Amino acid sequence: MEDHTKKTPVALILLAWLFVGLPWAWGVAQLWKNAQKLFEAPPTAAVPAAPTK
Amino acid sequence: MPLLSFLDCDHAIAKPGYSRWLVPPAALAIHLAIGQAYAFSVFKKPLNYLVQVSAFGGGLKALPGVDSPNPVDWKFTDLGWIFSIAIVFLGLSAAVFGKWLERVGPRKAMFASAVCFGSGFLISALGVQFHQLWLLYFGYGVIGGIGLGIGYISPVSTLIKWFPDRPGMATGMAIMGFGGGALIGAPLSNNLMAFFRTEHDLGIEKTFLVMGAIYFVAMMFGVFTVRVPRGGWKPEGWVVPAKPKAMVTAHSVDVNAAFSTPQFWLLWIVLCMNVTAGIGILEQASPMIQELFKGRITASAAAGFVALLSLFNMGGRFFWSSISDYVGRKNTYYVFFVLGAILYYLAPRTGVSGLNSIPLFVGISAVILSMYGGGFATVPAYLRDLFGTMEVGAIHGRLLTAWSVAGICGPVLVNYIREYEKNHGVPLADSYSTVLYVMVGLLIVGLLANLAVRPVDSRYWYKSEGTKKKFATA
Repeated sequence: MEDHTKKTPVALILLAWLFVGLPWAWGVAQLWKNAQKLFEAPPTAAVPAAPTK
Repeated sequence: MPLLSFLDCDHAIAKPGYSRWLVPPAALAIHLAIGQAYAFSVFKKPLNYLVQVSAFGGGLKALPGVDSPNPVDWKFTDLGWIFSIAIVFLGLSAAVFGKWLERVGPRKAMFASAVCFGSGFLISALGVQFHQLWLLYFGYGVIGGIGLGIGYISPVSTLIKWFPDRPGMATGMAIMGFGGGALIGAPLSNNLMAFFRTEHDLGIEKTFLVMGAIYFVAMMFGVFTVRVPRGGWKPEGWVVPAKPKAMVTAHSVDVNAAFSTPQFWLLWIVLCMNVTAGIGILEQASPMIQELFKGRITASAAAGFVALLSLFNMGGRFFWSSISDYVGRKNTYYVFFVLGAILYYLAPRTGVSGLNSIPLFVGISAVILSMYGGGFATVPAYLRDLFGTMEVGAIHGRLLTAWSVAGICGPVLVNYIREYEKNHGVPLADSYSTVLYVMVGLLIVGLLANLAVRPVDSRYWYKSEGTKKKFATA
């Protein structure tokens, strides 16, 4: 016998995930931008200029 | 009322063909919204300068960099209470309303959470408008806090019922959303305040109004989407294991009966110790890395370090809870406590006076924070294994009091130890070692509690199972 049960369309599931996923991805991207600062080189101490010959 | 009857549990029972993969986004809509609470600190400085800016204009940057330059402005210490009250009410409402949630189902609970959390912002906006701090305590702290508590536990038992094959992964996904909420909340608040800022207005009041509305709408998505499975439903192709695992019960325990079992209190200790230890590093992450690697880590890099830890805290929630579906909850907590204790012991040795390795310190901290988040996310599935699915949401609600206690004990413990060490002439970098060694002790207590966890005695089992709920309990 054929199954006539109406299944949830995949597009609807995808939309539901996008609804929560997009703002989340935006938040993660913002945080990742901040986390990058950890990998930036610290400001170097003032190096005395090389004496000119 | 027809609208309110839509919220009833009977109306939320899934029709045949409903995909269970719609339930995690519904749960995430709630948790991503209420997770904003962790980002409330972004409002502290603007709230601190409210009167000053209104009176003299010029925005935050034009003001001197001292706390509360105007005597009538709110102090940082007073503002700190808004978040603390919210967290206390999170724990209390989760404990009190858990049983109600199991009776009325997730949809009504999510709606109540959305109303409370949204109104919390609206009342707080009034507090800003009339410069009445008590309205912020009452609005965001009490009403918003109740929304946090109900919202936090609302999807847990529903997810466990929809994913009997992967309960750890399912609840981990939702609880990861709570960690991720701050990631959205912080930049959203800053952008809105920047948008509404004028010369004489910092835009906080309008930001609160807009955020209340945005979060209410987002949470309503969860209300409309969530469904509970019909009685007897199980995932396609999944069969109940013929021989259940030793630590997984096929029975259910009522929330009141669970409250009197030793297992509940052992898990309470397990969660409390794991959270207290995690807060220990989370609270002092920024000053700690700057002290351990003096001159090599700037304040900006330290902020980046804290951001990186937040990512691991969030990711750990999904990773460890998913792993627990395969290795078991008890074993997962063994990893948290044993590996955690080793890493806490090693962390201070990575500093300049020891191994002098920033990547090693960052790596250790990241793993520790992933296990902190993992502890939160794995505990609902642990409760389900021990007490069954019938009232797991309510039991989880009561267990969250461990979080409230840890939220107070962790920072107090850390600050007092550091203060004591400082007063006794111990260098700042060394005082962190003492704090972290105390955390090792806490983890050992947690390890012993986890070791003592055994299956719940049959005298606590709910006797007339199957008649209590119209929807699935298996």
